[in-house]
Amino acid sequence: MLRVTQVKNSLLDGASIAEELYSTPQDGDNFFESLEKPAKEPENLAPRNTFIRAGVVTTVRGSAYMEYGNTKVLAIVSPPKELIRASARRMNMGVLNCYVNFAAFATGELESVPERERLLSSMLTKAMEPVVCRTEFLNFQLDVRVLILDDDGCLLSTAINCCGVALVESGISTYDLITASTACIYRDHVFLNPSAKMEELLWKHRTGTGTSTGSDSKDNTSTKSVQEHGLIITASLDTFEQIAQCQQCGYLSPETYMKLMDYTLAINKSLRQLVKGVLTARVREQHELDLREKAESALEDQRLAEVIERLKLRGLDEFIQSNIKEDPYVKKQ
Amino acid sequence: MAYVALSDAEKTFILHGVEEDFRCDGRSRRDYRPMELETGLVSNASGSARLRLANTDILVGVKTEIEVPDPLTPEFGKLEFFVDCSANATPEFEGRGGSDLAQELVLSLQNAYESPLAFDYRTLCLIPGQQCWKLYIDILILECGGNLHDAVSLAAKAALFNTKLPRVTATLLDAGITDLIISDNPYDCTRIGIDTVPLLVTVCKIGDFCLVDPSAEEEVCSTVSMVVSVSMRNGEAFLSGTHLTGGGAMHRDTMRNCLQLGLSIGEHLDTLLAKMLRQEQERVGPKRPKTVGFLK
Amino acid sequence: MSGQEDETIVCLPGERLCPTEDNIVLGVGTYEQNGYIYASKSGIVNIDESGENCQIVSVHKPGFHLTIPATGDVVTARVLVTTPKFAKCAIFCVRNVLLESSYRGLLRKEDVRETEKDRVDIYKSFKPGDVILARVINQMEQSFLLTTAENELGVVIAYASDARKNRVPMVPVGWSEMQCPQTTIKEPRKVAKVLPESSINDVK
Repeated sequence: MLRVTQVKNSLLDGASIAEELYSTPQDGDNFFESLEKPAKEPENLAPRNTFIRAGVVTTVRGSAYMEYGNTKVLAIVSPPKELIRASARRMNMGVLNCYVNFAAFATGELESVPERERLLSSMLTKAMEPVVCRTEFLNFQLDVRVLILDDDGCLLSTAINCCGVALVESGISTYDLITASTACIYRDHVFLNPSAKMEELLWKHRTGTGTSTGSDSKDNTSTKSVQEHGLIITASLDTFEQIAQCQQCGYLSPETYMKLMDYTLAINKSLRQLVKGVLTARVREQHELDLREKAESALEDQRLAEVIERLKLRGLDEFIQSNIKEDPYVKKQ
Repeated sequence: MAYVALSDAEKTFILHGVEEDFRCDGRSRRDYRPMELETGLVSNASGSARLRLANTDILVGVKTEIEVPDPLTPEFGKLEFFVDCSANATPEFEGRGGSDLAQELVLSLQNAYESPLAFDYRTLCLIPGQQCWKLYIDILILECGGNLHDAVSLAAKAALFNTKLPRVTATLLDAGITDLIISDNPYDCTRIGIDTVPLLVTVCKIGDFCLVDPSAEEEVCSTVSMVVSVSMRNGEAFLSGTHLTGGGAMHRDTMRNCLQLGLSIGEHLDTLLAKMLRQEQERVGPKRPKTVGFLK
Repeated sequence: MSGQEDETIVCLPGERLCPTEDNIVLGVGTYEQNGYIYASKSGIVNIDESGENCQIVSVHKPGFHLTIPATGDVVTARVLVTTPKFAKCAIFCVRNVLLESSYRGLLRKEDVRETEKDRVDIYKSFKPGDVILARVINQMEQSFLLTTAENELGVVIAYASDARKNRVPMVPVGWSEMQCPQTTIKEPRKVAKVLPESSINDVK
């Protein structure tokens, strides 16, 4: 049976490269069959293996890098710029713009990239708006740029997490830490943190049932049992238990919607602990650096004072005094 | 959204009105403003509708084209949205000023229509894997008076209802090539099922209360609103795409209330729209004797 | 979250610091919500008790700061363009913080000096390329409005107009004149009275 739609391509030296074949709906079905299906009610509400690091890019002041499983994302906060377009509607607020870009090697399909970038940028901006204290930079626009290095699902939620860390790192006032996660339901199975393959399945084979059983699904709909499918991305601010963004796509009943949202909220909580740990460590690290720098500059000051003292003793005192007298303002006053 | 300058006093006034469940125009929090709906008024489009919701004026035209379906979804037709915020609506839209708003509307609509359960893409299929209809839903915003999401989705649904796809017969030629013959008779056409087509309901949070159909002034007062896309299927309401907008955040419980409000309103709205469309169709009959024109 | 040597309290955005009371003042990096003070930046909590019966709670972020010129700040700017009515400048330093990117500043003719405002000529006060000290008086839509109407504000570094290869900055020779030490050419400027550091120490 075909497990994954990848075959090995042998090279001359015996090495092999994986190549993605043109996939058909049938392959999707097969892939789903081969998947390890989670329990109907997931119990382990944990995020994937995560790596976050603040301040990875030295040329920019606010940056963060995050690996969420295989999804790799880099976020950069550039300093606020003057608003170029006089958008009257936000006179008392700064403007936040997020831009998402895929690295050229991040994804296989190049055709849909511009559209996905636009969609992600717009959703990311909406998710980040509530968390930034936008009143603190009136008439300014803040640009946050996200570069996606590798895409293995949960793109938007990873981008939100990463941006949140980058914003805190850049020293922009935020009301809270923001964390986000994704959950989806497909053929009655709830998948937390769906992989790229899973998401693709959800979109491309969105019939819910395979094409061969297309007529069946029509019968199904008439007999009340609607096959729900959908994806939820929730970003939350936990201090005030606020939801910054809850984006849903697909077709869900309200009950399922709330259920999935609660799952994501639980994942957000554990992610938040992680982000907290990373940022606290970062603050301590920088604090120590600051102290060291201060000590060094104090030493330097002391050395200079000594030099001046020595010069004075050598009789250069007179020279320094004469220099001050030449100051044109002293005469005028 | 279009910007309306409001003083603090005016905002407080609106806020108090919402708290008292008696809004500036006399509505309660669950009421919509009066709506006018007309269909089939653009002669060059396959289907069209014009909706006026108080000051919000939307004109939707549906164009059709025959295309090759996506190989991954051979049984599905295609749908494409385009929103044009004309500079007539507000001077702000001049140049590229409306593009952000237009993009937001397009994304919400696309998201809501994404699921094949919400919009049956199979009805747009001609020959599986070879030919399908592609519908271009062009939305023109003529005037901006708040609550664009709702108005746009209502108008789009009405326009889809009005859309007539000419009957197509296929003849099989040699080597599996098919030839399509499109009927010349303008009354020989098929319709699109719109029962499950979603409606967007914007639930706006002002103060501690949620309300529907915010006017432009109320939109300025609100920090966050939730766009709920309601699709009715067998008398049950389903969600086909929701998101928050407006730059604020809300509590989980508030969100659930918003969702419930949106669902119940959406359900109600859907039945009303269906009723209205049926009436309109009966009144006008298969052929429209004379056009009234959309600017009465 | 405390610990380390001298009780440094690390906080993160959204962390509750203390309840609001009459004698507690919100400092940098904090905000108030529902009767509590929360941090809005990551950093070290700093409680300043030097004020008269009030405490200032602030969060100090170690490392760099994101600075935006605010009204009242003294900024260092470079003059880019002069017109008869105003001079456009690029602000590149706020107080003693070097900015990551420069902001636009606008210095109007009326704000060049305190007295005889109507007789000011921009071209007799600044030339493109000069480095000036100025104070931010307002933030307009696209640029900051600057003023040099103080003794300590004005041109600090300027070069003579005749461009030479190795240019030497001009030396101030009066309130409104600077002289090039090489060519002895005098040029009009709105000169800032920059106190030499030694004299500041003397005053103290």
